[in-house]
Amino acid sequence: MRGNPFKTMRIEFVFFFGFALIVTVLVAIVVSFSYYNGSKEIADNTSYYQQKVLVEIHKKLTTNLKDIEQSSNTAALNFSDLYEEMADGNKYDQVRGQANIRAQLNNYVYGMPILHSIHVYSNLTPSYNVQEYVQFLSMDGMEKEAWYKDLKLSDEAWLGERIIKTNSGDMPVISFARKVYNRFNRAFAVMVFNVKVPDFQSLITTEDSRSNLALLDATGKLITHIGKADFFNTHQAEIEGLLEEHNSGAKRTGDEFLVWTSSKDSNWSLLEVTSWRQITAGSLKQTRTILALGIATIIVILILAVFLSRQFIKPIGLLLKTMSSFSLNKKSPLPTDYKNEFGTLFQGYEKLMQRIEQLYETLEEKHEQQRAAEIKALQMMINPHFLYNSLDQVNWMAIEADQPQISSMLSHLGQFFRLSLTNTNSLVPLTEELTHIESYLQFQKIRWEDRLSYTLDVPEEAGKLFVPKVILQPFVENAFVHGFHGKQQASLIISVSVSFDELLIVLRDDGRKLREDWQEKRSAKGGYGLRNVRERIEALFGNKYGFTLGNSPEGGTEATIRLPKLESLKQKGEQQDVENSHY
Amino acid sequence: MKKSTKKGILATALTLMMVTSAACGNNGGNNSTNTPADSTAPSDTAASNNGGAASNDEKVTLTIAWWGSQPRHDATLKALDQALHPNVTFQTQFSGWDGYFDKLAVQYSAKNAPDIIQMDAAYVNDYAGRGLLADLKDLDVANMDSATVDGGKVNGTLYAMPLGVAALGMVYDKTVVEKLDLTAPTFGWSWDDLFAFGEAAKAKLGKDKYVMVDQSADLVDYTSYQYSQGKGYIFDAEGNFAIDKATWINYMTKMGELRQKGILTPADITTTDKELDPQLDSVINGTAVLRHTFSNQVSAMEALKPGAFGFASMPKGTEAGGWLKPSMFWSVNAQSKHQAEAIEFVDWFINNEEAGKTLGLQRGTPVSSKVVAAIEPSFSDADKVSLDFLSKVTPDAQPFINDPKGWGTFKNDYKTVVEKLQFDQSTPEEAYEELMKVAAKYAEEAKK
Repeated sequence: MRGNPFKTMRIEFVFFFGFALIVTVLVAIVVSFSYYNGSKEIADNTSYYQQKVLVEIHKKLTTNLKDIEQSSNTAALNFSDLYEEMADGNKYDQVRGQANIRAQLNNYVYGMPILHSIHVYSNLTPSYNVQEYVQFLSMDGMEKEAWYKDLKLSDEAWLGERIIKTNSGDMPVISFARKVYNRFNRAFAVMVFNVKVPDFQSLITTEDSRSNLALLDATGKLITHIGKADFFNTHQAEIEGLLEEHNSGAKRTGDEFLVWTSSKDSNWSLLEVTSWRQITAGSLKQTRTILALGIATIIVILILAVFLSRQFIKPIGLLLKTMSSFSLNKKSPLPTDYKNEFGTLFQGYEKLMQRIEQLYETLEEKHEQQRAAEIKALQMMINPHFLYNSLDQVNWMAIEADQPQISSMLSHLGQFFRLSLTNTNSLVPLTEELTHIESYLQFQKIRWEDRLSYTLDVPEEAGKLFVPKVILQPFVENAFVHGFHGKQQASLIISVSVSFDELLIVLRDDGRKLREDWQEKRSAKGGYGLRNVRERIEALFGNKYGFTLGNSPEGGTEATIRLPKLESLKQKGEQQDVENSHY
Repeated sequence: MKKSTKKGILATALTLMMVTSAACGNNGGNNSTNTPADSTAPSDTAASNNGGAASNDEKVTLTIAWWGSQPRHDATLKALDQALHPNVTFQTQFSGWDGYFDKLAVQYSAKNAPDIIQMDAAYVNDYAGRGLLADLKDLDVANMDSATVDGGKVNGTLYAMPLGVAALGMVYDKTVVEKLDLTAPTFGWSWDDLFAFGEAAKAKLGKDKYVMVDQSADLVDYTSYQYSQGKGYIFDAEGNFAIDKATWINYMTKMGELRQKGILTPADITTTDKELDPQLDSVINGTAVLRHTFSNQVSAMEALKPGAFGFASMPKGTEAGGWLKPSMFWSVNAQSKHQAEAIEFVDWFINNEEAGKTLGLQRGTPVSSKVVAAIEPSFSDADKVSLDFLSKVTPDAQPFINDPKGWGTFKNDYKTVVEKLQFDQSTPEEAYEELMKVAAKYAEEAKK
C-alpha cells in the first residue's frame, strides 16, 4: 500500500477496513484489558485470601502442634521420673514400672484424639504389639531409622511422613520425636509421638479441601502435603528458596500459583499451590464471553459497515457513472430523492450540466451568428448586381460619347461582374474562374496597353476541376494595386498544375517584392480580400488547404493556392448547399 | 443387677448352634480408673431423641469402637463397607482389649466417646448406671431368644445388645503334643490331669520351653478354679466379693509351684505375652503349649496357624470350671447426636443376613436365628471347631454373672496383686491380704 490510502484506495475498502480495524483494535484492547486486569485482580484477591486462610490454618496448626510438643515435654518428664524409680528395683518393679509408663502414656493418647500412638525408644523391654497404643522399642533400632539424623543434633524434631505398623495395616504418620533426659542430663530415651497423616492433614485442610498445601518445618523440610505430591517433591529446592527470601508472599511459576506464609513465632511454613488456570478460569471465561461478544460485534459492525458504505457510496457511484457517460445528446438522470449533502451534490451537478449545455447552445448560436454576419458583410462588400447595372449604364454613356476605350473597359468590367454573378454555385469549374479573371486582365490591358503581358498556363484536365468562386481575383487585384504600382512594365503568370489529389494554382508577378511585414501590416481592403479567400477555403475544405505568399524568382510576388482535386460538385455537396443558401 | 443368664444362654446355644467369639486377652496393666459409682443421670432424655429410624438424607458420620483380634477388625471393617445407608460413613476406633475401656473412660470424660460402643459384660452395669448408654428398645429382637436379650438389660431396660456367646476353655498346641507323644488335654479333664500333663510335658520340653502360659493374674483363671472347687462365683448374690480364702491361697500356692518347676511361663515371659498376637502370644510363638481361651477365638488362632491347635475344657474339680458368657454387646452412646442412626446400624448389624455372612463368627454367631440360618451353610472348618467347642462346654457350664456395678476395673488391680506373686515379691497369704484391702475399697466405693 503506497501513499495515503484515503487518496489512493477505493472509499469502500478504506471505509470497510478502517472500520474493521478500529473495531478489532477496540475489542482487542477491551478483551486484553479485561483479561489482564481480571486475572491480576483475581490473583491479588486469591493471594490475599489464601494468605488469610493460611494464617488461620497456621494458628490452628501451631496450637495443635504446640499442644503435642508440650504434652510430649510433660510426658518425657514423667517418663524420666518413673524410669528412675523403677531402674533400681527388682524385676517385678520393672515390669510394674513399665506397665505404669505404658498406662500413663496411654492416657496421653486417649486424651489427645490427634495422637495415634507413642513409640518409646529406650532400654525397657521391647514390645511392639499393633493392638497397643504405646510401643517399646530398642535404642539400637532407633539408630537404623531414617529419621534418626533429624534428631541427632537437636533435642526434638518433627519427622516427615513415615510408615508404621498398626492394626489397620501399614499406616503413614507424622511424628514428633523428643529426647528424654535424666537428671544427669543424659539422653537415655527417645519418645516419638505419632499423628496419623490424615489427622495431621486435617489440621491444614481448608473447609473446601480443594487446596494443595505443603507443610514445611523450619529447615525447609517437607513434613507433609495435601494434593499435588509431584509438585512438592520436584520443587523442594525452589520452595526452600522462596521461604528463605520472604516470610510470606505469592508467586506464579508456570501454571502454579504459590502462596506461602511462615510466622516468626513458629517453625512452620505453609505453602499453597493453586492452578493458575483454575484461578483465572473465571476471568478467562469472562474474557471469552467478551471476546465472543466482541467478535459478534465486529461481525455486526462489519455488516453494518458494508451496508453503510454501500449506502454512502452508492450516490457517489451514480454520480461517477453519470459523469463518465456524459454526453450532450444523451442524458442519464440522477435520483431526485436525496435531500442531504448528496442531494445538494446532485443538484449542483445537474445545475452545472445545465449551465454547460446552455453555454454550448449560446456558443453555437454565437458562432452561427458570427458566420452569417461575416458572409453577409462579404456579400455586401461586392454587391455585383448594383455595380453591374451601374456599369452598363456608364458603358452606354461611353458609347454615346464615342469613347471606345472606356466602353471596352466597361464591357470587360461588366463581363467580370456578370461572371461573378451568373453562377449561383460557390464552386465553379476552373475554366470559368479563369475566364472571369481574364476579363479583369483584359480590362487592365486597356489601361496598360502593351506594357502589360500575362500568361495562363492551364493543363487541359485542370479546366474541369472545381474551385471556389472568385478566389483568384483578390491576388490579381493585389498585384495591380501593390505590385505594379508605379511600374512601366508588368508581367503576370498564372500556372495551374494537378497532382494526384491536389490542385495547385500559382500566381507570379514581376512587380514589387512582398513587404517584410505584410502579415502584420495589411491594409484593410487588400487584407480583407485575402483573408476572405483563406477563410472560405478553410471553411470549405479544412485548414489543410489554403494559400501561401512569397517572393517569386522573377522578382515580384508569388502566391500558391492549394486546393483539393474536385472533379464534381458531389464530392463537396453539403458545404456547397450551405454556401448556396446564402445567395 | 446380677442376673443369671445361664438358662437363656444355654437355650440360645442349643437352638442357634452358635459359636461366638469374645476376645478377652490379658489385662493391660494400667492405672486408669473409671469407677464412678454415683452417677445416675437418666438416659431417658437422650434416648427419647432416637425415635424412629433415621431416614433423612443428611450426611452422618458414626464413630464406632470395638476391641478384638486382627481377623475381627478385618471382618468388621469389611462389614462396615457394606453400609446400610449410603449417607452414613463410619469412623472406626479399634484396638486390643488392653486399654479399650481406659480409653473409653477418657473419651466419655472428654465428651467425644464413640456413637456405637462394643460393650463388655464387666462394664454394662457401670455405664448403664451412669446413664451413658442409650435405650435400645427400638431394636428388632424378634428373631432372638429373649433370655439372650435379657443379658444386656439393666433394670429391665436394654442398654447393650448381646452379639453372641462364648465358652471358656483351653487351647493347646496339637503339633507339639503329638510330637512329644503326650496325652492330649480333653473336654472334661481334671486339675490333676492338667498337673500330670504339665509334669510330663515339661520333662520332654526342656529348659527354655514351658507347658502353660501363666494366666494366674487373670481373674478368669481363678474364677474357673473356684467354680471347679464347688465354691461358687466370686461374687455372691448381693454383689459382694466372695473369694474363698483357702481356695485362693491353695490355688496361688499351686501356681507358684508350677512356676518353680518351669511348667508355667516365668514372669518376664508372662509380662510380654499378648494373647492372639502373632509374635507375642506364647502358645502361638511356641514358648508354651497350653493356655485358657474363649471359643470365639478359635478362628483367630486357626487363621494364624491353621490346624495346629486342639481345644479342651477348663479342668474340672468337683464341678466343671467353664462357663458361657455373652461375648460382647453393642451399646449406643447416650451422648451421641446420631442415636437413631446408631441404633439403626446396630439393628442392621444383628439382623442383616449379608452383614452376618461377612462377619461370620468373628464377633460371635449372630443372635438372630434368621441370620444364623443364612450363614450356616458357609461355616468354615474353624467355625465348626468353634461350634463344637461351645457345644461341649455347654452341658455343664457354670452360670455367668455380669460384674456388679463399680467393679469393672477390679480385674486390673487383681492382676497387679497377682503379678507380685509371679515375680516372687509376695506370698499367697500376703497377696490375699492385699487383695482384700483392694476389694474393700471397691466395695466401699460401690456403695457410695
